[in-house]
Amino acid sequence: MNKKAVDLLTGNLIFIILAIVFIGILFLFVYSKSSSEALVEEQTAKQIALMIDAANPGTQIILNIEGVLEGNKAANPIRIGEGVVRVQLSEKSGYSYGFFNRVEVESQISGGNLILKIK
Amino acid sequence: MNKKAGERILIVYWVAIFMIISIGIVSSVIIFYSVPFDIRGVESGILVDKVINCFVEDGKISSDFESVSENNFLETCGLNFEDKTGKYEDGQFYADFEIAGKKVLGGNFNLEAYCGAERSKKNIPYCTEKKLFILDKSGNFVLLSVRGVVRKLEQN
Repeated sequence: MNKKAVDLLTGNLIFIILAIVFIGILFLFVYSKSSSEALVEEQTAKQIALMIDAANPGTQIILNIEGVLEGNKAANPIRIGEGVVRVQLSEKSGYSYGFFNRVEVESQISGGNLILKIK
Repeated sequence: MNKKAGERILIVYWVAIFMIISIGIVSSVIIFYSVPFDIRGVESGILVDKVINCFVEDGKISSDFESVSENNFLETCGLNFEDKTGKYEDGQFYADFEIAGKKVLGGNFNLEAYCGAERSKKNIPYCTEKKLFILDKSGNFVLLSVRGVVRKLEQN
């Protein structure tokens, strides 16, 4: 191969590698933002609060939260009581959302599922 | 222009394209995920349904209706409007119903004014209103009008 061809090939290769790295960094950024702890906490707390609001006494709700518990560092990630749902996935974070349904809620995490008993 | 100068201009052009694309993607992702999920529409809808279920049984007016007043409205319908998150002031909810000339209110009365306001204004409390005909005790149709308002601006 002559020198001109080698130069052309090297230049194009570097450009393609840089473009792939650039797109990869963008994908990582979007992924990290969309699965951030704060976002998951807010989403889960609001989802649970809405389910409790809509439930009647005597209802049992089973919610799959395997994705939420991934990378969880807190001992008790989901607490429900006194009209408030609190989701806390690490010691520094946490999100609380209130519900208006006057019910007692018994919650339990079992095998990646959150079991809510509405009384 | 010689070939080297042309290549340099091409590199500047590509860098500029990459910069514009990355700024666009990064800023749109940040803006999208920095806005909280707004669930007030669903919440006020559930609130209104709860009030309807409280006074309507099989399309007929329930026995609870006669004894209900502003003092026991929330207890009768199993509602609790106190905010116990500790971060926000009380008075995040309002609900009322009107049937056969009897109107009963509960919660933060100041939020009533937001019913009928334009939906396009996002930073105001969200109101849901439902009207339906039900049967009274003598079997006549009466209009039941129920409204529910959720404030919670800071969280949504």
